[in-house]
Amino acid sequence: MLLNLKNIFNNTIIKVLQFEFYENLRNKWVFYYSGLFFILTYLIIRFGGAQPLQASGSLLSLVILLVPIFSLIFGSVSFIETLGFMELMAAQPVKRSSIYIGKCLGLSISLSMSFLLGMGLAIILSLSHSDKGLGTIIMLLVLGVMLSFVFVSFAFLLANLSNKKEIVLGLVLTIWFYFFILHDLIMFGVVVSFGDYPLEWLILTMSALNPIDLSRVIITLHMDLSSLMGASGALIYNFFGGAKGIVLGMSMLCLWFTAPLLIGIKIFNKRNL
Amino acid sequence: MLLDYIKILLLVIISIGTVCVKSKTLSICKSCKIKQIKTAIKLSRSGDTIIINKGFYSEGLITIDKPISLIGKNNPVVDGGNQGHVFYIRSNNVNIKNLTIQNSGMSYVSDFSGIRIEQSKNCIFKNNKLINTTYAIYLSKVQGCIIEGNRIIGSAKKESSAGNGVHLFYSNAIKVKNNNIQGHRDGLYFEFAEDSFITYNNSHNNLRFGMHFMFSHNNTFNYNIFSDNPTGVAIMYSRNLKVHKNIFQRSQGNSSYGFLIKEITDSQFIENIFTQNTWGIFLNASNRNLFKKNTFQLNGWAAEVYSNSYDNKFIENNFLLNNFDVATNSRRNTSQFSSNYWDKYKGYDLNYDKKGDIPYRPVSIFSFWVSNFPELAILLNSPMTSFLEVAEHFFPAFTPGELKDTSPSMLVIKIKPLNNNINKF
Repeated sequence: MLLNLKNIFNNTIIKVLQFEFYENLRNKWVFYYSGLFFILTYLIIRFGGAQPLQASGSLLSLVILLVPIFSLIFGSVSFIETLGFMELMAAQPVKRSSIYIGKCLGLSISLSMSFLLGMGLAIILSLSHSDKGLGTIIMLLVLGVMLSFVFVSFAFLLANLSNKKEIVLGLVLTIWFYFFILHDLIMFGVVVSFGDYPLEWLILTMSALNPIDLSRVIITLHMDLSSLMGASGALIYNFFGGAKGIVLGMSMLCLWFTAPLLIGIKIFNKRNL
Repeated sequence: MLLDYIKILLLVIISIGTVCVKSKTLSICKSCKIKQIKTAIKLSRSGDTIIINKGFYSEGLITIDKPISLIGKNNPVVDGGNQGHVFYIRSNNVNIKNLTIQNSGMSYVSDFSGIRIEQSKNCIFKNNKLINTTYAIYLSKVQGCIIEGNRIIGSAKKESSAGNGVHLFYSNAIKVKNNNIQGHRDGLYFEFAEDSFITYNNSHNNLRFGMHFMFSHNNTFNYNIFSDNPTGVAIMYSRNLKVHKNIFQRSQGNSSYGFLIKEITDSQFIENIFTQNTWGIFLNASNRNLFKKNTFQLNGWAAEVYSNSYDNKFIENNFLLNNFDVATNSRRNTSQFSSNYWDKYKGYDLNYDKKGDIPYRPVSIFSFWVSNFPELAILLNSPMTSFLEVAEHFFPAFTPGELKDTSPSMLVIKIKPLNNNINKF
């Protein structure tokens, strides 16, 4: 078991990870990303409404808008631009999967750090204005980090599908559009057209099939603004409510990180560099 | 002259008579001459007082058929032994105070109660504790009773086998004050009860409703708290009610209402607080009611107003942090909204009269869909909903055009905070 772990997290992965991390620290876009989160979060908390609860609602919208799209675009562009370097790396006695995993983790960690730094700093600075919804905000930070991981691994998978930057960017934007709006619209359409049938399980499955929905539902159910969710029926409430619901939702998000990563490795192993 | 003397003589005779049959006080305890409540009642005459000292009295059904007072001392316990009523009263002017009454029977046929009183007047039930009774206090065809300061703890499990905390049937001019009720089917239940005052009660954690009544006109409900009931209060088929300064909170779940109002007419609902309910109020077939200075906070829907309700007025209410402000089931609407404060209002006030210059439309398209398909609540906060709102704003197809507040307040309406907790148990 221990040997296995050593094999997975062998030296190459750590080394690629470290390299990727330090490389991104010097990237101005990661810095801008952090700054954007800092400014917007600070403004929302200070001026976005008299009540801290209202602020946590707006912060949720900010996270599910910015984190996925930035992770997707930045991840895919970064992957394509370093293809030459990866070619060089692959010429060395190094497993391709190690390069892939190391780069994915390194990029995810640096994006999460910059997200945490930006949003966290703004929250700490205005803590006295929002001490009531602090639990929700901490959960929001954790979910933002998880979303970064999920969408970086998605970006890598999509960047593997073509050598052309334009096609990859098109794919990435399509996927983002699907997860951000289209998926919910489909859910809406299904409920409105088949509302006479018991749809609770279908709705649960559909919301688990979208990482953005997953994080939105987890946060919404645990905000004090969730009185409405009572209407959605006991099943959904029991499924995602409580500490059990948080663990369940977060482990689903972990699956959403692992699955694209594994598929991506498979494609990456076979493709021409 | 002679007639006057006769009158005075008569008066003297009568007063001597009353002195002779002056009410006396009987005392019961385990070491006293009288050991049982039943014997004491048998020995007593009208107007007597029976002091029940500390002890455990399990005597089965106790019937009271004359105007006497039962007063507990040092918390005596009267146990019904899970059979029938504990006290059965058929007399005017009966007082029961400071007793712990427990374990009435349970039956699907008769409504067994802790205190059951029928066809009487002027009773007083004060500072009692009623534990594990099917119905705690049951008034049937009673007038002018006072039910005050009772602590009522039921242990209802199923709706079909459970009873109500305070149950009024065909009873008028009753005062229900400062009671704390939990664990019954309905905390308070009135049927054909009129001209009554219900104040400072706390009804919580019941199986069905905190308070439920129907066919009960001209009643006043002030300063009550209804919390953590599946539905806070459900009232039906009544008119001329005054509902002031009550708190309705935490009625959450599928079809859970803070305040369900069905076929209520010409009533006033003023300065109440509705908070953390899935639906704050639900108005169905109710006409000409006034909702003024209420606070709707943190509800799923603040108010759902069905279009079969005519000419209701919503004036100077605060709508704060609700998921949706108003929902309705049709594009037709006759309710009037004015001078309310809406936290979602995005208008401006150019002439500084503290009223917004553009009307506020409280019905959102997503709220319309969620009230038709509750499963959609899972899409709350989804960016998709904002797109729906924008689309509906430009091409209105579902939201009622006339349902709007033409003079929304720019500032939160100032309402005195409520302090409804006077009962300490």
